[in-house]
Amino acid sequence: MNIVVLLRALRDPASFSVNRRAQKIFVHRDLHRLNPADHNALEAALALAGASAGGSVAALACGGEPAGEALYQARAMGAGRALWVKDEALQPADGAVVTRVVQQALARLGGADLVLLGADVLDADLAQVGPRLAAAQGWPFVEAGYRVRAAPASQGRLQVVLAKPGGYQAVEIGLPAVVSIAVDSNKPRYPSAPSIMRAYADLQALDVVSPAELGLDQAALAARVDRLGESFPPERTFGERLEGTLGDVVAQLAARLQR
Amino acid sequence: MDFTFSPQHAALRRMLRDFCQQELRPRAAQVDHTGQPDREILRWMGELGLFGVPFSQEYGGAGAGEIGYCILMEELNRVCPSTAAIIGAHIGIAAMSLYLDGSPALKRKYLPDLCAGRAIGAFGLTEPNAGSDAAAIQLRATLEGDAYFLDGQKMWITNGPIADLVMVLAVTDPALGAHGGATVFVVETNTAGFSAGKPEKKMGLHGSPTSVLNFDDVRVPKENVLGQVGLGFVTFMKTLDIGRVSLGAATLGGAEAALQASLRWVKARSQFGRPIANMQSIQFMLADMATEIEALRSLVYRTAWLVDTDRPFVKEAGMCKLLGSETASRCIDRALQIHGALGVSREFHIERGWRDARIGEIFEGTNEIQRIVIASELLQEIGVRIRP
Amino acid sequence: MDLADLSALLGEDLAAETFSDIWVVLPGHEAATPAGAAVLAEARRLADALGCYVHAVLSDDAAAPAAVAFGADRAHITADAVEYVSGQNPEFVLLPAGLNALAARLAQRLDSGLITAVTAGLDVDPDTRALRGSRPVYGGDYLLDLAVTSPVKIATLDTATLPAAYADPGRTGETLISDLPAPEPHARDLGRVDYHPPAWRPLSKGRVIVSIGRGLGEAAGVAQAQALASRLGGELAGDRSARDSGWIDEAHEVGVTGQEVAPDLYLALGILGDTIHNAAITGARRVIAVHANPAAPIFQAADVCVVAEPSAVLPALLAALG
Ligand SMILES: Cc1cc2nc3c(=O)[nH]c(=O)nc-3n(C[C@H](O)[C@H](O)[C@H](O)COP(=O)(O)OP(=O)(O)OC[C@H]3O[C@@H](n4cnc5c(N)ncnc54)[C@H](O)[C@@H]3O)c2cc1C
Repeated sequence: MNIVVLLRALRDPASFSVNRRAQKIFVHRDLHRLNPADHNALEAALALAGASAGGSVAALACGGEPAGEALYQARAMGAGRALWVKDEALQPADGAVVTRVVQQALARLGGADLVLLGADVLDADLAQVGPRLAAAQGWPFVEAGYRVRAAPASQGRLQVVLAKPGGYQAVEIGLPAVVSIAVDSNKPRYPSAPSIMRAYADLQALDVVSPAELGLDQAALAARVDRLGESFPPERTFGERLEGTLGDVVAQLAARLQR
Repeated sequence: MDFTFSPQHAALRRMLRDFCQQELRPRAAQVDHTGQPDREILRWMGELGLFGVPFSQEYGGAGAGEIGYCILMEELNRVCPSTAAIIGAHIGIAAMSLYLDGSPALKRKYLPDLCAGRAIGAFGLTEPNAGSDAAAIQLRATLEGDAYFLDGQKMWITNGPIADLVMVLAVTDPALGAHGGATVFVVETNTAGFSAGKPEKKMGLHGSPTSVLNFDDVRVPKENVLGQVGLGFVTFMKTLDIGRVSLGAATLGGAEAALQASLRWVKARSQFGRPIANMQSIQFMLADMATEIEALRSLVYRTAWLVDTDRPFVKEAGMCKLLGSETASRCIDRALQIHGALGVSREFHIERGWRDARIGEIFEGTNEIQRIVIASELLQEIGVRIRP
Repeated sequence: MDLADLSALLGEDLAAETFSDIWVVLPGHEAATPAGAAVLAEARRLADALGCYVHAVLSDDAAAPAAVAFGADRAHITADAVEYVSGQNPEFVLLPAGLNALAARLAQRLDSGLITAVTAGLDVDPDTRALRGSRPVYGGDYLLDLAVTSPVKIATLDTATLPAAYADPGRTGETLISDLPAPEPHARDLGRVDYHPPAWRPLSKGRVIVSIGRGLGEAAGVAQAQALASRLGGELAGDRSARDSGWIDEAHEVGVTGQEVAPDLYLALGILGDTIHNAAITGARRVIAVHANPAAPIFQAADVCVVAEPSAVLPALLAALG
């Protein structure tokens, strides 16, 4: 099974703080890390490939330097190949553009039986890439899987466990397919220190291409969504009291908890 | 001038930060309270290659150099100084002496196991009557046929009770003494006649066992001579020189943890109707801590760079250990003060850090010895030679 | 009645007009749910400003009256929403955020931009007709202000942040039924499975934490608190006093001497809230505290405060949540 996992690097939440009153983001350090759910998707891909004979994992990321770092991490964790579509401008890109790039990149990787990615993206509106890609390829899509396994009986099918109200359920899909992986659904392995150093020492660790080399011109990369800026939630206030009889208070509390 | 870490070192730190925060930190209090190293986590660290971070991959290391090793020690000591001490003695002095001066055959024999954590190493220099004056060692090694027989005692040996291999400095020629008559041996601890004493009861580093090592006619084959016969003292001193850099890195991690805890606490804790962060005396402590930490960080990583680029580093290495251990002690002491009663609570890591940090001013050469090292380097630069 | 007849009846060309209309896609019974109603109400608001129609795309004609009552001018019943809407020349399409995947499929089909989970600022730029909206990132630390500029514009709305919609039973609207066949389901349902999430997740990563303290009163409350935690899909924790009482273990003690936590919701039941505790929850996004003592310091760290006996609130709350 050839698995491709899509990775996104983002600014480490610990490296900046948000001041709601000043309506500003203060960046303290230039630190990036893998989108948390993508980290779980990468682990799911490695586990699945490890469990199936002849399984391979290729990691794919688009963007600037942080995307490259994410791919080195994937190599150090065990991904056999990595493709970096290098383009600074793709970092804040919208879902349609990323989907287009991924489609071309999949072709360059020689296709895939399964594409995994994180079910949510912490810093951008890019969780839509999974279902978009599936629609574009005409493949099935399953959202927020907790565990992926090859279907025991039938070749070329996959079982995915999903969280549903009241418990876990499984679905079976045919391959090729796109599956997004729920955040924290597994514990990603740590890359070993030697494998990190080896990944960086290997000049062939990453296959680096530009969008143009994938046959994408400016028109193909034209955004359908503009990023106008940032806005900020109102300043947090403490101490709001729920008043009334016990019944009133409980009703208000229940309403808020159900949100 | 470029003060940024290389991408591979940044990636190494990312992995280490995650591992230490998620896996090691939750176990640190337990390690201290029970006084038992956590064998499970040590095994895991071995699998991740953390027992051989600075050494070349040829011998099973990670090939991350002194800078990578300093990152390791900084991150470990941030959360668990006991575990950092185990790794520090294992890599920084035990395996390092083999790496620096061992023959290729001896390195091939032992380094892969040491790097993978399958064998834990110890560094045996100090004796009951030879502390700062390491040249006063008495442990004897006598050659009989194709083997040496070691007789005597080492003391205060980190990893003593858990070591599989000990690098031991022994007198091979009493006429010459340590300078020219001492030799390093790699001793397998399962050899007859070897025994480790009970772990010492120390004020800190409870999870890092330190003990006496007894040698009763321990047979060591000639092939296990590390380096040249008679030149062992040089090997050990060279090893300690390098070890001081990473010890400085460890103290850096301890000081940073203290500052971090303090910053959180001054914001959360209110007295006299306002957060104590608003009090100037508290602010001054924070400013002093941050300044000293920044100075230490610059010194440590610049010195590591000197090591990795084969430049002279002995003076700076002494400074790393001296400034580092005193900075850490001061910062953790201030952090303890800032936390008030919570600072002395045995349920909180500041008290543990305070106990753990103090030892930094003593082992691997007391701070008085560091000052002597630094001064002798300084004076040598103007043509004056001194001896302690 | 088909579109041509309807156009003749109304005296205007409806097919030409639909290009600037708003389509709301609500399969199943969505139109009758608060989420569906809220999206319809938003669509109505935009349509009134733009002077266009609101079309509701449903899969069940039983939902049509509700869709109309909440703001739709016309209800379309179809078994294949993507296929159907794609043939209707929509300019704007809105869905609830629960249907993000459907929205993405539609967006891909129509080669359009999509903003998901909009929580604020949904409007149409009167000059460019861009669809604008803000959506949270980093768990709500801040919002991205986005604008869809493609000819077709799609957004999904986080309906929990929208005001409750009110039905107008007097509204009337047309219902059209399409005979498109239902798409082939991609996935085969295998039903419930015996799966247990790996128990590796430390408290510090918990998204919902129900935390108890001595103010809970008796040990009997602990089981109820555990039930509440399960009901909310979260974990049970406690402060130091709860550990001293033997209600929770060390790994679940919240405090700077125990675990520091940063959940989306921290529900403190009977926790007085000393600095050792409160300093360890500063990363929580929302804190709700219940304590009988109105002067409990926990209330200074809580967004929402309930001054009441936790032992009385807890069973009533469990009952209210069902
Ligand atoms: C936790 C721990 C772990 C250790 N691990 C190891 C290990 O793994 N391997 C190992 O070989 N050793 C180890 N040691 C021993 C350590 O290196 C020695 O304790 C240290 O070198 C000091 O020796 P000493 O304790 O005998 O003190 P002494 O040498 O007796 O010194 C006593 C005091 O006199 C001062 N002093 C001595 N000489 C001079 C001088 N010339 N000028 C000025 N002041 C002087 C010292 O600074 C000190 O203040 C360890 C010690 C500890 C506490």
